[in-house]
Amino acid sequence: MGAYLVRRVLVSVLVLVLVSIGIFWLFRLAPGDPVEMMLPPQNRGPGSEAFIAAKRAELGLDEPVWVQYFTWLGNAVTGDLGYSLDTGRSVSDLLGERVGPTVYLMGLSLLLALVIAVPLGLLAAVRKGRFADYAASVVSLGAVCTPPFFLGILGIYVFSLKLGLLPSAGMSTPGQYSVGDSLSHLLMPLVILAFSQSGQFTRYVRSSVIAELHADYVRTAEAKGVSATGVVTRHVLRNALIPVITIVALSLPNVLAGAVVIETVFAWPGMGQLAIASFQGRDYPVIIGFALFFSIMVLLSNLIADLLYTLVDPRVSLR
Amino acid sequence: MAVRRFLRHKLAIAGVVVLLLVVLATVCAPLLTGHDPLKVDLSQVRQPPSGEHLLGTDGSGRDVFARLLYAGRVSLLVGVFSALLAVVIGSVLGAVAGILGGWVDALIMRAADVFLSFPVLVVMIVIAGILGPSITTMVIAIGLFTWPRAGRVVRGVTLSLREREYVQAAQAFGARTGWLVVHHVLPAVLGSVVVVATIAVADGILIEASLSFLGLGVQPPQPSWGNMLTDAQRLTVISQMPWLWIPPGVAVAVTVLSVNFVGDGLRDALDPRESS
Amino acid sequence: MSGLRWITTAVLAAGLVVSGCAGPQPAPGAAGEGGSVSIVLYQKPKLFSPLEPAHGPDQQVMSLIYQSLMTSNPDLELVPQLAEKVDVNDDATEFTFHLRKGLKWSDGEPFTSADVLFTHQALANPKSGSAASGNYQSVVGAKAVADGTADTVSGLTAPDDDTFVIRTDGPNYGVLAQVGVAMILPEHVLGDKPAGQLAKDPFFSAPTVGLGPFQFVKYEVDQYVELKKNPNFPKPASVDKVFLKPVTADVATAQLGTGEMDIAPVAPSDRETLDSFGTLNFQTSKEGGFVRVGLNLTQQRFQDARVRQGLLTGIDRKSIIDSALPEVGVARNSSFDPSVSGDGINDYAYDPAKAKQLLTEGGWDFGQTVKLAWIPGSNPDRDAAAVAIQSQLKEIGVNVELQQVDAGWTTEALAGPSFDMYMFGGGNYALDSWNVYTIVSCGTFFPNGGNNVRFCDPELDAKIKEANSTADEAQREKLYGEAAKIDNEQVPYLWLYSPGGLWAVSDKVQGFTPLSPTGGGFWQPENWRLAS
Repeated sequence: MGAYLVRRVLVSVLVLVLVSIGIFWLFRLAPGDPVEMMLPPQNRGPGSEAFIAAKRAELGLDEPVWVQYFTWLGNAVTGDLGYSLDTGRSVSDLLGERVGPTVYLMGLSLLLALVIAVPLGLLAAVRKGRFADYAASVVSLGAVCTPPFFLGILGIYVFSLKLGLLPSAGMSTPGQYSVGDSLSHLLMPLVILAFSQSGQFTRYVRSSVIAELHADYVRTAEAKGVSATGVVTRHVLRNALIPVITIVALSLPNVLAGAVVIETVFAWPGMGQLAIASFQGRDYPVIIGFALFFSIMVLLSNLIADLLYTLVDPRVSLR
Repeated sequence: MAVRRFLRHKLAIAGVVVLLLVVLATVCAPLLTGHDPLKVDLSQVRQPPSGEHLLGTDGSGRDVFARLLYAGRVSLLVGVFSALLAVVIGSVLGAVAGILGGWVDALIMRAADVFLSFPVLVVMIVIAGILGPSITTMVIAIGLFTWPRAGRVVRGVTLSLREREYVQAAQAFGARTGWLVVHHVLPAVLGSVVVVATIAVADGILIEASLSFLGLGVQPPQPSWGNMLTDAQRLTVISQMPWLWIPPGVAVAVTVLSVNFVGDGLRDALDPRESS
Repeated sequence: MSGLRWITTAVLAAGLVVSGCAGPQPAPGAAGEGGSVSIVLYQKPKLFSPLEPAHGPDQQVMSLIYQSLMTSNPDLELVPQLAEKVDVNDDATEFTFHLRKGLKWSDGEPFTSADVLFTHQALANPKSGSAASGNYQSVVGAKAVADGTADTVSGLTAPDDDTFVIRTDGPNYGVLAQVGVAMILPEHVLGDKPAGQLAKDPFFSAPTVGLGPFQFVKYEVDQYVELKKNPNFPKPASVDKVFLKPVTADVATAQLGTGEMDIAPVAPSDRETLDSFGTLNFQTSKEGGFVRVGLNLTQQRFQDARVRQGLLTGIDRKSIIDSALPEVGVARNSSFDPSVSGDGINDYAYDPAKAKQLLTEGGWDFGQTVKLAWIPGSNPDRDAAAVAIQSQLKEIGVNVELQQVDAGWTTEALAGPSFDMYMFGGGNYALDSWNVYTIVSCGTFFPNGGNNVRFCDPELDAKIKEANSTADEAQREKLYGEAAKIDNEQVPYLWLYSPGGLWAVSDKVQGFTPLSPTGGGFWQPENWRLAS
């Protein structure tokens, strides 16, 4: 187990390096130069070219790409992720300020999504082919195919504008902090993000419970007269959760993507909007910082998923 | 046998029928509407549904019904093919990883990690920037970067299957990998794969929508369900012009639901353990 | 937000889901004096520094906390702000600013010409990281500083505490609008920073010392900028606090309805929704820039003026405006402001037959396809215009392929130049007609100027330069009018429209006068007050 973890972490570091190289080169292939973009066409005047050249030299962007990469890597190892080309602020600061709100929103919504999905999926599986199953199918697939952006605007329209129940955006009312205020701001983005995610989770729970219900041991247990509820709770759910764990772990990038949209709609001060702005502005250091954060999340969640396998199903061993 | 089991599945039949109808409607669009989906009429902007325009007109005065039909061609293409690509690559690699294990497994799974760690949007921005946005590159890019989902699911199921007594027994009796895949792995993972595929179809259609939003998807004036939905993402439209978002929304939902029911039916039909 | 708060909130979240929740708390609407006003920022602010390239939301915040020698009024005229009056010599080479007396910075320190001199020296010096140093090119001694042979620009001087003088190498009336509108920085706070470090100074993230009616309190990252009234402002503001919130157009609309937002620039297409709230007043602002389609004039096919006239005649600008920008949009027929170009110019009214004829005369090949690129998603009117143009030009046999691009594509395609047609907006050509020079002259091709279509007509250049060489108002107007005629005939751009600004203002707020939204500032915010 210990050796496994060490090896896994080492491999993960290798993956991170690969990803950073990939992003570093890939993004420089995209059209657009971050320094050129600092001066929009309508702001051009005499001296623009000189300003751009000076800026490029100052930021080290006139060096060959591989030199830039090793400079970046050398600094990154010491924890220095560089400075935003756009605002000149440290990338660690930019990400650090925003990681809290994003993880907060994502974490809670993931939890809530599971709280919705597990019982719903289980119900649909046990009642397969009956009304409850169809109802659950329609609801969960509805969640899958409705863009979160849409739900966000719809939510704002209904709950803020029409009913006046919830604030429409932000994390708190400017200038006044209270727990109630903060919670009322959280509620809508949280529920919408959770609902969006719960759709696919419900599908997976349903499908893997159905598969498990057909397993031989369930039939044996039923034949022996063990009550259905007993079998389901004691054996089926546990085994059925294995593929679901994979999916939840795999969904993190998806949840993050959903969070980006929801953050934009609700003016939630997380990483999502920073990510979009840095992609569009070709702010290389911020993009890499964001990509690394993203990769670490993915790798970590995959590792956790693999570890959980062994807990849920002792027959799976890690080698 | 399998065909008969499938035919017993009423919802699956309904799904097939609806999907066929949707495909037929998009293919035969010119027969169903006399309107040109690209015809701009600035004197008829955002008109509610009427006898002339069955589903009203959009912000450029184009007929929404005509756009809906023609949009289906692109959206179905993107959704179905990107999902197929992802599921095929993912299932094959996932099954191989799960059965062979060892360094093959490690290699495939770390490759999956690398692909998963690349935000799809970033990749699309770069690819579209270099090659120019096109439907083919979009399908390939979406498929290429979403396969790890199917791959991981299939591997997970295969892995737990490998430890099951009956599979180990089969292996002990000298069963070959191919036989194992066909007789045990495939039926066992089909349920999960169908779900992955269903969601991948929806995802494909929606990723196309978000790419449209960034100008990287289907280029205007060509309609897609995704860019019709994207165009409708405004408070004023959502609250006052339902004819602009309900049709594409319903089209996506109906398509995804049908794909799902068909998938369910397929799963039941192919699973030999299914008895009822 | 601190870690502890996170945890508290997280723990309580679960309970809330079950038990319902607290409603929104609109800002307290105190009567008369005091209270707070919330304003929409259409993007997130970056840095509050005049040294940085202009960024709309930064400019909006800065116009509340800083002031400049000259500013734009709602009629888009250049008027003195920190200057009491400006004297310009006859050949427009010497500009003397007589500063208002008795002004104080928000920290109580007196405002003097030393502040003005410091700011303009910093802006003129490329070493300080100033994006605006090019504007000072015509100032005496600016070249020496750029070359590194001098530390200060000799043409910028402060003969006494209340006077600031700019001298230029040759006649250049336009320098007044180009340089005069720069926000003035406090010398007593920043004066001792070395030039190379100035742009990076932390002051610009939290500029708490300013001359404006409001004073910077804090920027809660990505959420809001908080300002409070500046007690040292000569006519203290009535409103106590201002919050500027970067939110999407949809959230802005919703918040105008719930009372969480008081002032916002809005899209005409949202007018119906906004009207239904019954709590809003609407005001329009003039717009100094315009939306246009630039044709890549290095391509042979666009070089005949009749082709450009034909394309313009083939676009039904009136119906584009009527459907996308009702009430606020104005069709343009010149790069110069309508007040300069007058009515006596060709209006290129929509006429498909005439358009076809002009194109044929100009040698247009109707078999070819041209690409029309634009950045989608940020301006609904431009998205609608692109689709309409494609469809209308198709009617006259011109095949247009639409191409959605992002800002990264733009700089590269303009530098090439590798675009066919590119639709964009912006600029302010009303403040001073000299601003037109950079987009049409032979010497200001991109990237060292705004002429990204590579239009060149020496006759037009000469006329604009002549106008810019005199301080005589009537003479300038006459010469610019003649320049506008040449411009109108040559069609360097396919002018579409000036979008105009539509503002929604809560009926709680009085005294708000809108300024062009792309101008990026607010007009006399000290006059805002809350209704009793």
